[in-house]
Amino acid sequence: MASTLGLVLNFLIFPGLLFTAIVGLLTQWVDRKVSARVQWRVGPPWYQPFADILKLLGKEILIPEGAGRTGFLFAPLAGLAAVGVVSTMLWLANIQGGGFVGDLIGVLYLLTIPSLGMIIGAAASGNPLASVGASREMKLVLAYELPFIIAIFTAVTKVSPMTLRLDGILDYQAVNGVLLGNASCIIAFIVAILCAQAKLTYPPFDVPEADTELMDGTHMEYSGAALAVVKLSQAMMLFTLPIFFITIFWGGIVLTGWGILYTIIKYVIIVTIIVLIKNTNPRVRIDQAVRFFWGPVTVLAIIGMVLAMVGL
Amino acid sequence: MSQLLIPIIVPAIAGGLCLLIPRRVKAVREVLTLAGLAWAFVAALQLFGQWPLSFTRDWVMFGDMSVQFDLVLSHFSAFVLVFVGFFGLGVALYSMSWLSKEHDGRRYYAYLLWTIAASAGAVLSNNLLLLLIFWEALTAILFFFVNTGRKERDAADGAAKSFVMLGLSDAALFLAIAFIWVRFGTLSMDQLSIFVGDGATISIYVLMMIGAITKAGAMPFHTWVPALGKGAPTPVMALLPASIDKLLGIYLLARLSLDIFNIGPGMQLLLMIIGAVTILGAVLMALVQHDLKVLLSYHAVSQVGYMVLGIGTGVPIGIAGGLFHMLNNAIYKTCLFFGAGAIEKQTGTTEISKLGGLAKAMPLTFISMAIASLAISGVPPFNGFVSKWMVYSGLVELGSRGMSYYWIFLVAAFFGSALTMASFVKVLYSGFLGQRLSKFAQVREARWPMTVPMLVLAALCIVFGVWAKFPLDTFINPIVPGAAATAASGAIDVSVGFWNPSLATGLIILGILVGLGVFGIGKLSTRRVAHVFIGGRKPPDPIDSMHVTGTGFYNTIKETKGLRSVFANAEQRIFDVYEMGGRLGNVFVQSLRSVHNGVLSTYLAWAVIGLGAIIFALLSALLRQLAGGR
Repeated sequence: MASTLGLVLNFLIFPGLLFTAIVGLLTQWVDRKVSARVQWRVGPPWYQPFADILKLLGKEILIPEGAGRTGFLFAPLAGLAAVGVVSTMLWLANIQGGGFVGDLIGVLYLLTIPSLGMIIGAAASGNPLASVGASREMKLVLAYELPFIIAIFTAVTKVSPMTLRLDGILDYQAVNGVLLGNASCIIAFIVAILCAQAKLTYPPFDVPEADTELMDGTHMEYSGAALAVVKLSQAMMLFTLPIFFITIFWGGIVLTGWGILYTIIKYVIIVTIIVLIKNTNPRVRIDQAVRFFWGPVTVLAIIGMVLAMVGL
Repeated sequence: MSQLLIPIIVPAIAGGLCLLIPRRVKAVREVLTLAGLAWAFVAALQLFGQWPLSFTRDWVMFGDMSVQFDLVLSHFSAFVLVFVGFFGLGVALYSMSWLSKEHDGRRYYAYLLWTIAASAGAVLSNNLLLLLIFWEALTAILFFFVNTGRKERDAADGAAKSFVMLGLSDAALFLAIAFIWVRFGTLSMDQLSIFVGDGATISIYVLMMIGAITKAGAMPFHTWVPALGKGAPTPVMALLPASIDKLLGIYLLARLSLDIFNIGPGMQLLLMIIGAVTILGAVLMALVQHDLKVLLSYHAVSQVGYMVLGIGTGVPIGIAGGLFHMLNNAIYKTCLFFGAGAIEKQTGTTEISKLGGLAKAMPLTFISMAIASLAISGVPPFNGFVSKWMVYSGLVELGSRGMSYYWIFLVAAFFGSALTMASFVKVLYSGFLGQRLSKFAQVREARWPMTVPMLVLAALCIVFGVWAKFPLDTFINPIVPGAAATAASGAIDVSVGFWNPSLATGLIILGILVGLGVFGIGKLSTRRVAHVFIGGRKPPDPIDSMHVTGTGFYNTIKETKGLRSVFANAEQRIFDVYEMGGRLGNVFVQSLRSVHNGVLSTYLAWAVIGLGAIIFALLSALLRQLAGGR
């Protein structure tokens, strides 16, 4: 019973929802600050993302006429919960070892729930522009999912004996050195970062939101606390994905001694890459995105996998 | 009378009575059907746990060999029998409301009862010849059953196509059984143990496998399922291709691959290839369908791929996953067809372009279809996720045993799952979400005989997902040698992975509650209903003109380079065995036919040429004789 209570606390506070939300919002500040510097602006103070969420919580919630209310309000919550579970799984695998639901396939499926929630919510809003956004988001999921799976399973192939347990992958790296030391996993890592860009719907893959074209598309009808939940899960995703990549490819999180600094450096490097891609690329069309992911990116991912098969 | 005979005889007799009862008294017929099926279901439940049980009578003698009427209850057959009874009962209840007032349902209920009787017989028979007879009976009943559909033309086309394809696969099964008799001298399934090594045993196995996977609907023998989807009555779709044909086809495939034959890596690879191709091919076709029932039919095909793939791994966890997927698929696919039928009944159409915004009008149908859609997409914590997870784990275990190309199958299965999700987003969007069309203002929720089975099945999707250990320990693991590796805490613990569905579900629910708390802080009470925002303009009323239909949702995918030609070929039915067989036959017939042009001089010319050929042959024979004589 005590362990269940501990787990609930883990999920609610550290390293689950609360911690993920706070660090995610801080990361979003880094994102905004770096973006501002790239564009020769000053950028917001560190507490700006928190202030934004707080402001949204105080606003009224508008529900569009004719919307499926339950789906509209409920779907983003499922996304929030799923990111929280993934974050808890990843951290506990890193700091406690096994014993929890620490399984790779579970992580991969849970990571699609925020997108799915957004799609259902947008579709339920009854707004035609949001519908277009939902259609695009689903196509984007299809597009990146193929290379993403191949990239993640490249790491699984390199681990011996093969395992789907997160702690098993970490143990292997602790003994045999990080997977990123292999040519195959470097390629897989690059592919995964490209897919993360689309998973976060960051430019150049912000097609579902496309603020200059669909006026925020999938997010269009959300307001007040509901929009706060949507923004919060995006921020949490921005924190969770780099942690996922660090766990799978880069030796995981170490919270003792110099490990803390090393972990933070790894995290900042990944976030910086994502932010720089975001700021230097214009938005593509959805068909270009699909062709990009199913074409060159998938080929790259397969090359990585083949390298892993021959032992590189 | 042996207990084993009840699930076969009771529905069979009830079906006969259904035909005898006068047309007018529909209520009596409905009660009789329900009672007969309920009896069969209860009998199946009572039988569960009583294995091994058998019933043997001498039947026919061929020379000095006797064929016995031989029924055997094993754990596996008892499990399949329970669910055959369960789905039969559900469909009967559903049909009460589905059949229109004018439709007396005389033949309909009789076929329904006979289907259950024949399925029970096929599951219980221990003799291959007996199995074949029940199997053939199912094919024949299906043909007549489908023809009770309202869209007569489509129904008849689909019925003919499935009759031909299933009939041919039955012929393959028959051929294999004849070979087994000749070579091994027995047809008792529990006495056979055939090592698949040489050409003869390989062909026997492949022929029997064709019989099994055609029934289940795997590629390349799948096209009868979508053809049925066009015109067959929806409950028939829910009963046969969605649930019972899956249970029977995969039951036979599993019996073949696990008990009767001892298959090697070669055959396993063949099964895995069939599975992976089926998953991807069928789901891609489903993505671009315009009719809800046809779309669901393609998914009924696609999901078979996971079962065949799982059985093909040959690893306990993979086999268990494949069999669990068989059960899960029957549950959610039946629920989905029921939902499609409810939509059809209440709105009169299943065309995706004509539907929209029914969530408010039909909330129960929406909820059950949404749950079933998430389950088929493999979203945790529903049941489809658990069985897919087990199949993936089986594949990874194969990889860890040195099969370096395991990832091709894994990626096919995983990506197929994403495509399934996309396809059901389209279903949910076009059917229930989006703006409610003004023409549906009067639409109401379906009546209780339709909603209750749907809700029960949707609840099962949750129960079998969250407490997956229960169905696994009760039904699946005991029949797969070496698959009982589940830990005590309700988690599924195998050598390559670990999944605790109850715990994950608990946390997700907790997270949703936290989110609701956030809503609470944001004063959900101060919500306000406003027009949708379309750029500042007031939306038109009714909003129908701005409705985005789900039809073109994935046109981008359809037009992607590389896939475009695949879809174009599929529309030409290049991948349809039935169609290609027909075309090949047609080429042959046409070439013969073109000779018959009705012009006398041509016929005379042919006659002269023929005469010349005969004379030439005779002469040459004569000359040879003369030469030989000298």
